[in-house]
Amino acid sequence: MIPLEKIIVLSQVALFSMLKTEELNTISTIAIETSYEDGDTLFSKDEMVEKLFIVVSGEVMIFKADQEKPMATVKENDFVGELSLFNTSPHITSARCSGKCRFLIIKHKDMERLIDEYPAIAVGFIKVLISRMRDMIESQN
Amino acid sequence: MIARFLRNLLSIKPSEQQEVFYLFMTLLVFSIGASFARSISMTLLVENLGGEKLPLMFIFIDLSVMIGSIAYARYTKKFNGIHILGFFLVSTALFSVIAQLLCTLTTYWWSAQNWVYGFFFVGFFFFYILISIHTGSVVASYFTAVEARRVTPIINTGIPIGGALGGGILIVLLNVFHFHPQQLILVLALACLGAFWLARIINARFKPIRASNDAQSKDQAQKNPLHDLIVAFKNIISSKLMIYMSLGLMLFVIGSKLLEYHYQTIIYFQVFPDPTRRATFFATYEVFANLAWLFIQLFFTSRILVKWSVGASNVLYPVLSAIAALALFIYFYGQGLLANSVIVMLSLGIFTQFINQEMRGALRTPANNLLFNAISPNQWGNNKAFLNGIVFPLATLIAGTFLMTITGAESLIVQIDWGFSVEQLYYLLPLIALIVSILGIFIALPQWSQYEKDMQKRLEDEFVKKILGHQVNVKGGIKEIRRVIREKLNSSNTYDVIAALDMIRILKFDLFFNQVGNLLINKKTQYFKVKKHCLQTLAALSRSNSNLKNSHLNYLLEALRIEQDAPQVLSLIIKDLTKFKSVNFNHLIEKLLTHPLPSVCVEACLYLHQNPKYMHKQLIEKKIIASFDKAELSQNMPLYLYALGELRLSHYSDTVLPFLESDNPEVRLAALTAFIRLHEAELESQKARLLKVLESPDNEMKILALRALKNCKPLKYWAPVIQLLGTRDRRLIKESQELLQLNMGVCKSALIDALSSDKISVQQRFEIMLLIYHFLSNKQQQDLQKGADETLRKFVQVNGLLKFYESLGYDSKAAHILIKILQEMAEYHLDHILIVITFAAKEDRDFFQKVSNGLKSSNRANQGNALEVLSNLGKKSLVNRLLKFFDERFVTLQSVRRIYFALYGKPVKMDKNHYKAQLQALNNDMLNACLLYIRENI
Repeated sequence: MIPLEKIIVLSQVALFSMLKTEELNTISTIAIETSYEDGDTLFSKDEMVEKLFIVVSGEVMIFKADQEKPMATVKENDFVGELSLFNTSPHITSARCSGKCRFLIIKHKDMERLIDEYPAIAVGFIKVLISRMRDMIESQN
Repeated sequence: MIARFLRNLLSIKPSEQQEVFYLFMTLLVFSIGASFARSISMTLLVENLGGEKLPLMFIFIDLSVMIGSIAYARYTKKFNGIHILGFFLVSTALFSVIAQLLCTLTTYWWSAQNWVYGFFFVGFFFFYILISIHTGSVVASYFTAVEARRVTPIINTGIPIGGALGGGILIVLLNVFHFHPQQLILVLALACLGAFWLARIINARFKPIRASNDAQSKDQAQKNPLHDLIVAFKNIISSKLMIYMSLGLMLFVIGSKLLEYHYQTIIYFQVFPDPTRRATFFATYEVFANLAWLFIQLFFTSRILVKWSVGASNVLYPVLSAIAALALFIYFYGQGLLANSVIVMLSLGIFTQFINQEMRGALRTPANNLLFNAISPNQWGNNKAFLNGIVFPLATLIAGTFLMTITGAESLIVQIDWGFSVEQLYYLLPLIALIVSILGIFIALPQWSQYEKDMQKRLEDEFVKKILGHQVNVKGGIKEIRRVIREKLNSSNTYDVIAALDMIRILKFDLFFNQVGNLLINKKTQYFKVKKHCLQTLAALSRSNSNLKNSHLNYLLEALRIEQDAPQVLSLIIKDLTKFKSVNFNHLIEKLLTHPLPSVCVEACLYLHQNPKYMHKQLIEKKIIASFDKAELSQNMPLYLYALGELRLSHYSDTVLPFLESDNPEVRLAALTAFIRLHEAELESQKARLLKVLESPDNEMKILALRALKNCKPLKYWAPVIQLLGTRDRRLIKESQELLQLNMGVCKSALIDALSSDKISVQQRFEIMLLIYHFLSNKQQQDLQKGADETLRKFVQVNGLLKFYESLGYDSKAAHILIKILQEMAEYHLDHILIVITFAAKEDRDFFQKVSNGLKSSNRANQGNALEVLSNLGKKSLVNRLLKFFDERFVTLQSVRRIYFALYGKPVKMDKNHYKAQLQALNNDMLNACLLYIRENI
């Protein structure tokens, strides 16, 4: 993936939508492109994986402990692994690839530095988390 | 061509034409019906009830309007403005149908029921006044503050044109077709239904940009009318602008009534004693005055408002009123000179009436309505209702009572109660009107500045308001502060005590010295932070008052004795004792060299090393160096680095250097502090290393380096320091600014060069301007303006390319990035222009940020408020050109071409053959990468 393609991907992620292109450019330099095969696990319950996975292509299923049915599906331009960024405890869910997936991965340490540098990312996180919480409540109702 | 001529003449932009046309037509159609109803209702009333009932009818109208205003205030928050107008129009139509029915019944069957004519008169004026109040809000809601200033007077021409047309048609219907007045009441219903149909079109086609009804207001609307009235009253007393508007309105009504009384009952009565001749004069006056009003409204009002600003325009009316009153006073007071000159008296009467009536409609009302721009739209209804429903009738009552009292009777023929003769009254009334008008001017001046302040306030973000809204208001003076400090110092809450100590230190209150000292040595005081603040406060007070030095020393020694078990406090006490070099406490401190806590040990070492009477300094140095071996991996490394630095011996530099590259930021920082301390006397030789630190990612290190650079000779290259002006850390910016300021003579040209570059950030540009603007010569300031003018051209061009590229409709992901880049470039250029405007107008950062955010906002109301604030700066060339740009609703490529031509007098080249080259010429790497990517992927 060329740097411009990374910027294009990042610009479509709600988290970074408020950033300027120069800032996206900075983030693109620390975002690493990685591919996973169908069924690969990104992280398991109780595991410490300090990375944010931005889905470039493919789908990721999120599972609650020992359940076969996924509780959520994360698609293109969305991200997983954000909860352990704010809470250093291990993951409470598992994430598995459904089909071949491509990701941009940002380490939590880098992400913390980015939030410090660009507070707009923190606002983006809040918005996305609230929207997910709303979806969850609506689906329960 | 004719359309363009009219557009230019009437100051309407093509994008506004439709709204202006429909709103104009609505007013025109309603005014035709209103003109019919005004004449018919007056004729029928006087004919059937007699002229003597007029004052009573006016009281009924005022009372009904007062009640109606309360209901109006309530519903403006609940419903859209155009819906309320529709409701008023339909209600008026319904009312006129009922009135027509009642009049017909009275004419043919109920001959004794004359109250019907009073009912029609009062009812019509009730609706007429409410609609007149409300149309101003409806018009304002469809335009931004700046647009409204331009188009409102043009839309309002619908009123005199409709009035003249209605009057003309009425004359024809009465004299040619021989209708009776009571048969024509239905025309009002027809006109209202026509206006309602136009209002529905407006509602369907256009969206208001400043709504008076919002979610929050809907909640408020659930409360009762009395609550609304209280809210309105609170709004008015809490807003300086509204207070000025209320006072201005009262003075206007009083002055206007006095003048009206004068020309109607004194001048015209004397000039035209015969009622028929007087009526003919009134008819002739109406024709010419209405035409003159139309002419002024069309060609002057909007130009005055745009050129002079809203605030200044509002001063004009009381000035004109004062001139009229002064002229009347001079004429009637100095009767000897032009005694009984009918022509002069009549001219004065016409002049006064024209100012009092026509200029009120053509100038005062539109200018006064625009003052509401500075008030939140959801308060418009409440405030207008209060002004028109409470203040206006109250002022009428005051003026009426005053006139009744001063004249003493209904007729001027009898002697005045107060002992004034009729002749005295001739000049006394204008004199009082003159005083009232001058007071009006005095109110309009602060109102002007308050309007501009409130417009700026309108730009403030609610969030920011909440944060900055808490201002401390200290009342009661120094005594009260001392009482509070004493109270807090004795408090059991540690934070209260610390706050009191801070206040004593900052305010240098010597009288608390002993109290602070006692607090330090009190065994009950155990909290370290309190002790630390006590020590700091004692040191600060003894620094400012040398008489306290001995007491300070005594408190320190006593504290040293009792704090043996508190190592943190102990090290601070030793540090303070270091300042008393003339006294030898070496024996006491030597005992602490073996203290188990490293911080105490280090402070003891430093105390002894710095004491001139201590003989074993080398031993101390060895002790500190030895601690490095043990502390390699310990958390005390910063402490030992600090100790080494405080020795201030440059030959230990090699010991410190490796720690500058440490992975631990605390160690790196301590190493740099030590390095600077070691080389304190010869920092110039270490300049290269300090400059290198400026490139590190660690802001604390950069701050230290900048502070050290202040003690060096000026730099050759200032770019690394200028670069730091763009960081987010305010401390870093402050240090960089201080360094640049210190070397202004040398770095000024580098700063000016940086300003001419397009590579610096917006923040950097602002900070540089803060530093150098006042040092620039007139020519340099003009050059900056020229540079900003050139940036404006780039801004228009980038916006043009943006619109052009959007119009091509590429659906590529890179195309979206390209558009985003262009938007950011346009914003960058806009900020450049605004910074230059801000400094040229001697405004501050707050102004810049508000206007910048407002102009970039996608909300047109916000954008309009920002433009209004900008236009209040006065018509400076750059501001004017920027306003011209935003005057157009910049939505199509066509508008880009138009604005480019208007600004630069030549067409812009923007077509499929040129745009790529123009995009590339913008010289943006990422933009070029996008172009390449799109080309390869299509």
